[in-house]
Amino acid sequence: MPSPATAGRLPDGVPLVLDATDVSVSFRGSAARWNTVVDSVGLGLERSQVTVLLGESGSGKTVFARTITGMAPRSARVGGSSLFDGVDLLDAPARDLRRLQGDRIGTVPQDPNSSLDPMRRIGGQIVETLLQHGKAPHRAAAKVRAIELLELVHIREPERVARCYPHEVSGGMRQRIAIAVAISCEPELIVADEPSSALDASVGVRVVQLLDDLRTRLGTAILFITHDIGIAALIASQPHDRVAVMLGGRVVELGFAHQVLRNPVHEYTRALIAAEPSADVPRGRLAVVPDDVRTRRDWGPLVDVEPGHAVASAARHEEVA
Amino acid sequence: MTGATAARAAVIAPATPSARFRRRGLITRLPLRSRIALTLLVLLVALVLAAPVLPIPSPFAGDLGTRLLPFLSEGHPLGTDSQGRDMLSRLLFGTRTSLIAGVMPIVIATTLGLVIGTVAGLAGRVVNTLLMRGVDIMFAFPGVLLSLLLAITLGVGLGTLILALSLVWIAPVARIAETEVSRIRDLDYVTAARSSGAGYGAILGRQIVPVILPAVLAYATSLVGANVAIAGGLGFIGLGVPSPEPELGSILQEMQVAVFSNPSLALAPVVVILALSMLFPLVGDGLREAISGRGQDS
Amino acid sequence: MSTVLSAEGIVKRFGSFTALDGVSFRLERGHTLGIVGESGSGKSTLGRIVMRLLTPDAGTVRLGDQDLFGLDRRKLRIARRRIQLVPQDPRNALNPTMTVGESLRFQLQAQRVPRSEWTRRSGGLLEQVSLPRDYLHAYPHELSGGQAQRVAIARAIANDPEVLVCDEAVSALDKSVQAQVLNTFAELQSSLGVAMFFISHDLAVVEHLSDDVLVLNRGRTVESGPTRDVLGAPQDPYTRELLEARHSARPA
Repeated sequence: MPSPATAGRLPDGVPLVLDATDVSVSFRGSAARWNTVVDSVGLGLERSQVTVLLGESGSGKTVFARTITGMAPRSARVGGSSLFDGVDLLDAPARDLRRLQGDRIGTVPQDPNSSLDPMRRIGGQIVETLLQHGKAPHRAAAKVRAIELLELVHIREPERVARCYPHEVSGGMRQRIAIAVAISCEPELIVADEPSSALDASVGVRVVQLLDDLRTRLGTAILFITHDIGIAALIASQPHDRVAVMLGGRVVELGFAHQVLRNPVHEYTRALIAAEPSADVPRGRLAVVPDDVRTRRDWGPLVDVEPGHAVASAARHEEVA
Repeated sequence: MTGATAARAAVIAPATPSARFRRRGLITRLPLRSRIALTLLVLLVALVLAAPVLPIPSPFAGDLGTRLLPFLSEGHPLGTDSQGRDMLSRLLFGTRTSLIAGVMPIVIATTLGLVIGTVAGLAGRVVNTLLMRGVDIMFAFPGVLLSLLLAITLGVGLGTLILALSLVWIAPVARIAETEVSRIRDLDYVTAARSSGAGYGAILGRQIVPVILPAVLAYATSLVGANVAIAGGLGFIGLGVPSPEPELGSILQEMQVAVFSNPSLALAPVVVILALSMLFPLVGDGLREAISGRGQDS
Repeated sequence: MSTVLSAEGIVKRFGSFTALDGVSFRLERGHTLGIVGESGSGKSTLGRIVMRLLTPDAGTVRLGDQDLFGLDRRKLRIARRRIQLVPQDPRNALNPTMTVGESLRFQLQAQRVPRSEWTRRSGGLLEQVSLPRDYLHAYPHELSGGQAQRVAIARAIANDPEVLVCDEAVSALDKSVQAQVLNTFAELQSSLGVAMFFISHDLAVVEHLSDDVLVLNRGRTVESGPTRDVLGAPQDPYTRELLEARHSARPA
């Protein structure tokens, strides 16, 4: 009988790229009280696997993702551990962190405008990044590699684009370039925070499909943050991909994508799926997440409901009763 | 009351906020440092305004036989100046003049600057350029030179001083107001106000000015401190009020002769100027914080 | 059926860029017209034009039977009561220095509603958007995104308009909060009979809420008609492309 601490976890012996245990993050709020934004969350990330952090604003998903990759805000109080190749990212000195983050962890941000320097040509920025992280022996090799990377992210006419400035290309293309920069150092882990939400639907879908394709080809692990169930379903396309539903700083449901998205157990996950508007639902009758569910904080530890699929114990008991 | 009338009364009577939305008054929301500064300031102003009825000698009554007496001399707790006039009295009346010269120009400049900045912020590009470039020109004009010119044409005096200082400070206030107005004019709530059918006055007075006022007022209050010091400086070089009217800057000027023999006496006006220029910004800062607590976008 | 809002041949250029190139539509009383398109399609520009916040270079907009851009200042003020805006960003939809009650009262006062009516009507408005009366005393920063948006809706219906122009009114909200606000829109339409001009890039939302739909691509009408027809059996390749994207990102 698996103990609560290991509920929903991947079987032992699976090599983990990143192993986060019991991570808590708090911020100082008004009246000198500490607000817990992430409450004892653990997660294991595997190679070639997509893990989706599914949650709405305020769930703590972004803070959690940044914290376990060593990028917690400085004013935060952090507990727990996050092991990456034997190094605890929550405890490592800044210099080691920077090296790891540049070299082996790539980030794709939500805002395609924030990751690129508007004053420099695109090709030049990729070349600089490659040289800085020692991924190319000299400038000429870096230029060749930069073009390769742009091709890898399905940019047509990569030489022309390399000569452009960021504002001269579309938002979707800027996002692909951000992905190109993220994979330029052949990272073992890519963190993508809502990469498609600022883009038009069709463009966003193609960006997500690109990430999916890349993880298969390059074997990277992907930590994908989103509030959109449809996008979650799109990126978590392989049978071994996982979904973790976050609510109020805790993981309330965790399992393989097909388990969580097709047979959700937690009422919040069910409500999220049912809240999708469509012509099938009569107007005025969309499912709504009740306030007491949304604001509740005492969901309890995760408990297995089937192999690999765990739900917060409080929700589970209600279902059984 | 019957049930129906009670129900109607409940609907019509103004609802009082539940505990959730009950808020503390403005004064209680001021941070501690501002409350202390405000108290000191109020005390000082009260003292200064009460000067004419206090049992102190006239600031003009000088006895050359008792010149430059030190602190705690008989009948003169703060000594006397180079003409035998009581220093405490000189300082009190001088502070009164300095406060007027410090505060009035800011009040005038804030009002005018607010109007100019708001009009420029809401107007089309042509009017905005005209107004703001005019403001830039005013910005470039040094206050001392302006005071000198005005003193020459209109004569030295409190009125000239206030006029000169008002003109100096209009420009920065107008800039702040224009920046703030430009920032909010395209926001959705202003758009909603424009589509509500409300008149320009209502939109300006209730939707726009209250949003920009905290930033403008906070800036203006900090200006008072600087302005008191500048008025003192102008008084020091003789562009303030003419003697024998007491004014902190001119008192300082007169006391130069005693700076080595009786330094604490000579520097007393400086202490007052410093105190004033620190107290005002402390209050203004706290005021802005307290108003922000009400829901300004920070 | 009476037409509450219509437009013929709207053209709008910004310098050399053509945002709208001959767009026309009709909105009937109590119906919802969904305006769908990607960024750059011109849908927001169209929304601003029908609110008379922007003047078109060509074409007419009729509010009922009145030419919207032919009204003088007095008639315009009266006409404004009939068409109201629900904006996208709940954070900027409300004046931060005014409580919810004050914002609502401003709206009532703008249409010369007598003072004695204010409290009763503002309380009633909150009830219509399912918010407790106590929230009249709240400042916008004390509200969640969904609550602020519902207050924005309450403000828009304050003077019983005939048309609500919703410009991406649910796009900035979380999915489950969006569901609540969409339900509110549906309830209001059935209780007040208000027509909705619903601008959105989200095909699922438009499909759920609209009777008719207009698909815009780069300033041109690509396809229009009843939602069931246009989204069920799209004729135009662009519409099909939009639907493709939606179906790819759908939980199985």
